[in-house]
Amino acid sequence: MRLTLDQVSPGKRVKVVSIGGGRGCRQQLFGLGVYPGEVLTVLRSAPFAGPIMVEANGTTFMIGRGMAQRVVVEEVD
Amino acid sequence: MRVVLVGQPNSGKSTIFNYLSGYRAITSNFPGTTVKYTVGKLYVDGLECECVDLPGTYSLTSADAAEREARRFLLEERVDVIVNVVDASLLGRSLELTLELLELEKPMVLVLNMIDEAERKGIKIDEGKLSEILGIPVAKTIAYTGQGLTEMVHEALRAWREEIKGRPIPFSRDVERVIAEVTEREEIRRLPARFVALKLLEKDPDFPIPSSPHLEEARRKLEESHGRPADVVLSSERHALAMNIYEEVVQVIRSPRVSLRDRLDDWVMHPLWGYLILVAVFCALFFGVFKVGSYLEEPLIGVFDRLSPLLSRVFSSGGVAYSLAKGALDGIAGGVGIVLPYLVPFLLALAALEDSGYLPRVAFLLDSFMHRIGLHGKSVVPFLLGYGCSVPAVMATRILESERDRIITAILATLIPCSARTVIILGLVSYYLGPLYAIGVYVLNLLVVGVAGMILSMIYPEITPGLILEVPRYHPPSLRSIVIKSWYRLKEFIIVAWPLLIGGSALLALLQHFGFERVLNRALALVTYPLGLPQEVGTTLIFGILRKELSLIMLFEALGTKDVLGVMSVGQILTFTIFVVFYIPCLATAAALWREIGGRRTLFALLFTFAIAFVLASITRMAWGLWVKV
Repeated sequence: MRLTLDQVSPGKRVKVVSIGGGRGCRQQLFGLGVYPGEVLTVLRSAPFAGPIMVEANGTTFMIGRGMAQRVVVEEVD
Repeated sequence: MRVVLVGQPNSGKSTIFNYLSGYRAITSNFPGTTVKYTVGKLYVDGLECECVDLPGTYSLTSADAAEREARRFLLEERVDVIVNVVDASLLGRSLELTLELLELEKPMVLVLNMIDEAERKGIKIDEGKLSEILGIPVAKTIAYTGQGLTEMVHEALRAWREEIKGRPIPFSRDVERVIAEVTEREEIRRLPARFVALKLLEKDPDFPIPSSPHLEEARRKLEESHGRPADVVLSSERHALAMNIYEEVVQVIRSPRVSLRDRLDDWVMHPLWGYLILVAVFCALFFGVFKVGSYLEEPLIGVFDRLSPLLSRVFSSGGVAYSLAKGALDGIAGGVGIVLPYLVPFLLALAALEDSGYLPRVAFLLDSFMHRIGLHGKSVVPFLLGYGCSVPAVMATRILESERDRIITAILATLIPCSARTVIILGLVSYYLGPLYAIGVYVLNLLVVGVAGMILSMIYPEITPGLILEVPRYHPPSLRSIVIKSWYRLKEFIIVAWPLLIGGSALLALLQHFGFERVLNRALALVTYPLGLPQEVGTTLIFGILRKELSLIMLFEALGTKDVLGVMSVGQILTFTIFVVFYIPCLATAAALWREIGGRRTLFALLFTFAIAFVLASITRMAWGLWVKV
């Protein structure tokens, strides 16, 4: 099932399908090792529609909702 | 020889730099501490080397201003040897930058830093094989203990002497063919040709050349065969290469343990506890500083109070020499008795907080609030630094991606009470009126920053790009780093501000002696009169522009007493403090603003903050008047 990263509930593992948005946004994610095909774990999300915290290959980072909406992922069991 | 340290944020470049050069760069536990490059000197085998610490950069595809600075330096300045510092526990991801650096065709060394952390994670790296693949020397270090750094320097020297440049590792064959077409067909005057060709294919905005049909054709070919934009194709190629190398050189001995971090983060970033902890941490910080400060302040001031009668015995009271000496003594007393007791504990506490890795967590908690004032969570970092000093805060805005965010954050950061203003708030409001009033001033300040942010967002109505920020590991703050950092900041005060303070205080005493300050004060009544402040405080406002803490010291000097409550009402003290906290940032900050956002906007910032100060101080005056009547 495909959904965007902001819809993933904490604790779930997902695989990146595509990264939308502008060049700046995707290059930032590339810098952190987030590429199509990589597996991410959503660790937690901040209240008040705040950012979500994600782990990818040992790197932990936070990503704002707006940007997370542009990352299409699919669930991994 | 010039050694240039390059690496991703938080890989430990600044720690290595400090160790090597003895010069103190500011290290912190959040990405983007080095926003501008720092140069130091070191001697290896009698050879003088220059060491440059560049801002951390994830890749050579620059996103924010700090990254752009790093790349500009690498391409345009003289670089004899690149020392690529890598967080060994994040090797896979870090290798992508390494591969890009290889394309620059400069002598280079790869440094696997924090090798202990990698081992804790269960990762074992075969540095021999890695060195063979990349064609450059590889050193293992633990920067904060200094382990391996001497060997690292020798490897760098060797790479330079023997010109060990490594070799760019080829991408897939079809991609290489396109790259070759570009390097052959395009007239690339800038070197290294391969690197420039890649940037041209990526459509990097910093590499503008009139687009030629060949280039368009090559890019189209690349994009069509891969079905993705060219920059994605190239980054993905590099990612795949990095992952392959990683697989080859890394052995995962055991799976990483659930770290303390996750468990700590469950609390620190909790939707309820997280905010309570946040409030508690900052309350503890300010109460702690106030307690320590006021504990130290009284005996220290007492010493100087006993000294001043001695002066009248040495100099004939009423003479010029007496006024001058008295003024100078007050200046010294102000530094020792009022500024240092608050400044030192404050700087130490802030440094500990920075090093611990807590600040990015604050960005996480406050991101949605920052969106409400038109910014995003990363702006929290400059704001928090602003509590220390506005100058690094304004400079730290370079970690933001969009220019609009930088402008707004820089202007707002100057409104945050820096340690100098904290001295005023603690030394005046808290000391004479009580700590609750001081907290009131801080809360009011936050509200004002929020409203000012909304106003600025209306003036610059662009949408903020949104937050992407790495969350570093927690570090038990190292005493050495805290002391170094605090000392570095304190030195600013001792070298720059204190002499100004002593000189200013003596000058004011002289002016008073000859009655000149009355003329100044009368002119400044334009401000002081509508605010209902005593005319004598006029000159203190001028000194406050030089350095904020001067306002307080000069206030004592201007009023001729430390018993402020005797000559000023509670309402006046509050009005004065509010005005001083918000009006025109000090000269050093104005200069930093000028550099970061340009002259016109700086002028705007000065007028904007002055207007805020004036309006707020007027409101304070009226509100207090009403409150007292009730």
